[in-house]
Amino acid sequence: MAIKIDEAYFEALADSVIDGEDEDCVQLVNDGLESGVDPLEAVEKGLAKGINQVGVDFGAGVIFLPELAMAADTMKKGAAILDEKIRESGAERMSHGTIVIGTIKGDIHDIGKSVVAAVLQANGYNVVDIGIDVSIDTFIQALEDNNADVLGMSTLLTLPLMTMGEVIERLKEIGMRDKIKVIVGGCPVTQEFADEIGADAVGFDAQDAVVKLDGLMGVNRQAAIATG
Amino acid sequence: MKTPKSTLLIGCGAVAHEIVSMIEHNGWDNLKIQCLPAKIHNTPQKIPEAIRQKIRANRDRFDEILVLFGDCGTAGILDKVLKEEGVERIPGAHCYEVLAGYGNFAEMMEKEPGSYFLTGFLARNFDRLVIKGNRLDKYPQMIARIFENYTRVVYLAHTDDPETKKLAEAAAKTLGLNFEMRLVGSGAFPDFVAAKWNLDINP
Ligand code: B12
Repeated sequence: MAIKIDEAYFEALADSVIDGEDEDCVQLVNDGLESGVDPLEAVEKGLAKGINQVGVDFGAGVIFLPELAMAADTMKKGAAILDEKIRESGAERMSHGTIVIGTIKGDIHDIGKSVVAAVLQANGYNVVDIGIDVSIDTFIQALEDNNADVLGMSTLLTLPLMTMGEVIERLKEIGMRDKIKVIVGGCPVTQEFADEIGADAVGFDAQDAVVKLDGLMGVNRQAAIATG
Repeated sequence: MKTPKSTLLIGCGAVAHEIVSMIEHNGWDNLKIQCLPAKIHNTPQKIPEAIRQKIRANRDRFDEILVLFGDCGTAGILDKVLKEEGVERIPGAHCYEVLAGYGNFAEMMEKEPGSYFLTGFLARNFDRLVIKGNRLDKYPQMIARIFENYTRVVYLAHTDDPETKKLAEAAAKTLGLNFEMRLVGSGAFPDFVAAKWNLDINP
């Protein structure tokens, strides 16, 4: 269906993420593409705006777990279609770097990790989400395969915490540690723990993950905006 | 040997049944128990201060206090608070690990990472704590999404009471997961408490 691409369109796209309406989101994305929307703009002014708002609302206790999961899943579906278009068109989506992210072996909690993945993607990172219960070998392989700049590890359980440190040790052993920034997160992860295992940063929520990663990657959003 | 004159155990409502029955079964009459509400599990950031309040409110009334909480996702903050208050706690990450028995828990997770654990208390209050507690009553279509990585429910049964078993089975059905029962008694709680004061455990 041909539609008008205007502020109201981008707002509707953002709302579809906020409300976790995945079918509406996919429809809006497809209609938008048919009507000539710039896929980059659709990500930035629509999906990204939506998921950022969701992160804030969850932190403030305005929305709850199912709504959060629905929003992250919706963002993922919309972004998959738009990313495909961006790749096909040969345009380069501005990327601040590639992050491989997953929940560490021994844990299958996935919502926090998926939200962080969605928000990082919305904020200009190329995100490779390799899922849950991820072993040391799988992390290393994915970092190599994707020529990644950043490793993101999540866990909500205390027992698998030490495995995070083992992944970092492995990076050192194979001479990759200097090339890869490491960011960790999840409710049992403290700054102290991150320091102890030699991670570069800890993200306490999705917005904090963006701020910390920007710091590590030397991204200056104020300057980027000022220079257009 | 006897426990100190009067001793307070601070436990979690989710395992109150198991702790009370341990005290009764072993005739450890000097041990009194107070619990925090089980729903505090869903907001681990509130656990350390809540336990501190309990300790402070009871310090003058008991000779000794012992905490039967795991770290429970408090990121070590519970341990910091307990150090400040000079009170010891049972080792463990969370009550499922303690209840299953430390080695057993690791073995079950290793064998099937998609294990979701139910205590008797959780089975009896499944609707209130798991479904409503996570707002899944408002979004029943999200039950499958929230539990998509899970394959089985392991019911850590205190006794073989058929009523509770039925409820645990029904919970597994609601979640669309396989069901397994393990008889665990009071798990690792009795060994820890007995070792503390050299108490005898009744078979
Ligand atoms: C929802 C939930 C579940 C859901 C998981 C659904 C899913 N698909 O993921 C269900 C109900 C299935 C579940 C199961 C279990 N859970 Co649970 N769960 C929770 C709960 C209530 C909320 C977690 C959540 O999703 N929060 C919302 C997200 C957005 O927040 P978040 O995960 O913290 O993520 C944010 C930050 O931490 C950070 N972040 C997270 N990851 C990363 C990664 C990076 C790189 C960065 C930068 C940042 C970052 O940013 C995120 C976005 O803001 C927590 C308690 C709590 N309030 O944290 C317990 C909790 C994590 N669970 C716990 C437990 C014990 C279990 C079970 C063992 C219980 C059981 N009965 O069997 C099982 C796990 C079994 C298994 N096989 O692994 C404990 C862990 C205790 C511990 N010390 O290990 C907790 C702390 C509850 C408690 N106090 O006992 N759980």
